[in-house]
Amino acid sequence: MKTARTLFLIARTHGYQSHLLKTRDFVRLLGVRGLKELVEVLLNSDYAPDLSHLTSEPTSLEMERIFYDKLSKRWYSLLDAAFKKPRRLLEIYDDRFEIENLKRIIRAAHGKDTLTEDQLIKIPRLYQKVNFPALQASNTVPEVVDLLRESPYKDIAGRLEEYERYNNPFLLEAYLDKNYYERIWNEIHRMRDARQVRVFIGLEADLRNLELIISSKYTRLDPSIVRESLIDVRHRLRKTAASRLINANVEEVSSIAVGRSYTDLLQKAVESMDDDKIVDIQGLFSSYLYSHAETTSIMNPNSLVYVFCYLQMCLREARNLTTLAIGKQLKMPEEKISSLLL
Amino acid sequence: MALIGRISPTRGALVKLRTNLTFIQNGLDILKLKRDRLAEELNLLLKETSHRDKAERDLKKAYEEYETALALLSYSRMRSIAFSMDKIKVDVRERSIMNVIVPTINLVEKPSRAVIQDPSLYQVGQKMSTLADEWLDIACLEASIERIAHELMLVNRKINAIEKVVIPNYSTQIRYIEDFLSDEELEDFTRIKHIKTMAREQET
Repeated sequence: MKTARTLFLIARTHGYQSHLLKTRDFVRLLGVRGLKELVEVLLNSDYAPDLSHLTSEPTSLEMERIFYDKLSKRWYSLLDAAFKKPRRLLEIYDDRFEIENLKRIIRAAHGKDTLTEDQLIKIPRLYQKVNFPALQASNTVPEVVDLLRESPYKDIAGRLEEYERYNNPFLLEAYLDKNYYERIWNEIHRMRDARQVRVFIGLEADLRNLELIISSKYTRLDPSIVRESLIDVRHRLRKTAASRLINANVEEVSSIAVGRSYTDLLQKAVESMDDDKIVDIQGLFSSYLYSHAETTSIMNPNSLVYVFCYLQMCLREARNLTTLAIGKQLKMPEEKISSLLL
Repeated sequence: MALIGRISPTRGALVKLRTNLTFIQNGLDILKLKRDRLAEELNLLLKETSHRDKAERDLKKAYEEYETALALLSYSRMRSIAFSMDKIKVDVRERSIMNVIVPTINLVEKPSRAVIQDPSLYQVGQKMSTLADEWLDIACLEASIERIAHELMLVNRKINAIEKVVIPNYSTQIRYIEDFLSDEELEDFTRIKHIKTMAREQET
């Protein structure tokens, strides 16, 4: 039995959902000749207020910022309609942007570069759990880690030694992802009637783990780092299967039993690695999640999981619009851009 | 020809001009040797540029892949990953070919791709890294060709100037002094002969 507050949140999400671009809009956007025309078409959408400030010669970088700032607004605006446990869960789920920003800060500190504010995704001050200006001013990774000691990411300090040993910021990034999903997972377990949300988040975590394992085959990441970086969320991907996948060669991956749907996905991922073309492993796994979100949102329009499906749809839209804008700026053929969209 | 009016047609000037001409001719021989050596070096370097077309095709392909990866990852993520990469380290030295300074660039340290966890970007990085070696060689080669060709042009100009202007000028001056001196000698001889004839007539 859903509370009135949960129903209110779902109803609000239905309202917001109507603002998303439809497939026919993307077909129209694909046909535009350049960025200027792309902006003109998007002026009829939810992006109009932000895009109207653009100069007569827009760049894809400016547009990308607008798309991701809009995405962040969409994610955080749902918090205003949420209360109690769903709100707490959404607050943690929205930390994704903060984590993305933290990753960027860590990478910049690792490379001894400075990061400007416009290189970070905008997050409403109310929901910031870390001091971004201070983090941006840090010159080294230990300084960044030190500034995180009072935040939900305080345990990152435990990974500092490993980071220094391998000189690879990925170890810290993996910790942030792991911490993020585990916090969500713990919060879901405090909720009643959240089985569908649990399944959805579990799938997302599983896909993240599988993506990491498959990518590591390509990027030759040390198996011990992969094992350490796996998100500890027990869903369909068992720990033993994950271990076997980590130790397996690329050819053996598809023969390891990880559930039928995942096996098909792994098979596709392995096949894509054989081609001479660019390997879009992330796109493959994200696409699976987005199509699952689409189906789930149709099947469960009155469930809390609908909210999470909507957030994923927003994410897909921002990603696709960014790809489209970059593709148009680089004068890529329509078919090529279309093949890159999820 | 204008110079002729300014020189004093003396035996001393003639000796000096002849010495200078010999010196210039020796210099010309050395310049010709330098020209031949530079041309030989240029030919060798030009032969090495034969793989440039292939390198260009590979670079074009790698760049197309980079564009695809960029469209997939977005500028912000791409830039952020680029931040964490180490800088490429090269050792630039100079060597001299017939006094022409040409650069040699050695790749000391390539940036580690371990920080890249996205396969598409890793793939692009791998290709670009291989191409970096090749293109550094091509850059060195082209810089060397450019500098040697420039030097060759200067040497050729010098040779032409010496052959077509300096030596003919000197030869004209020498010829003028020689003619002048031989005229003077003839005049002296005629004068002495005339004096001798006059003296003989007086005696008789």
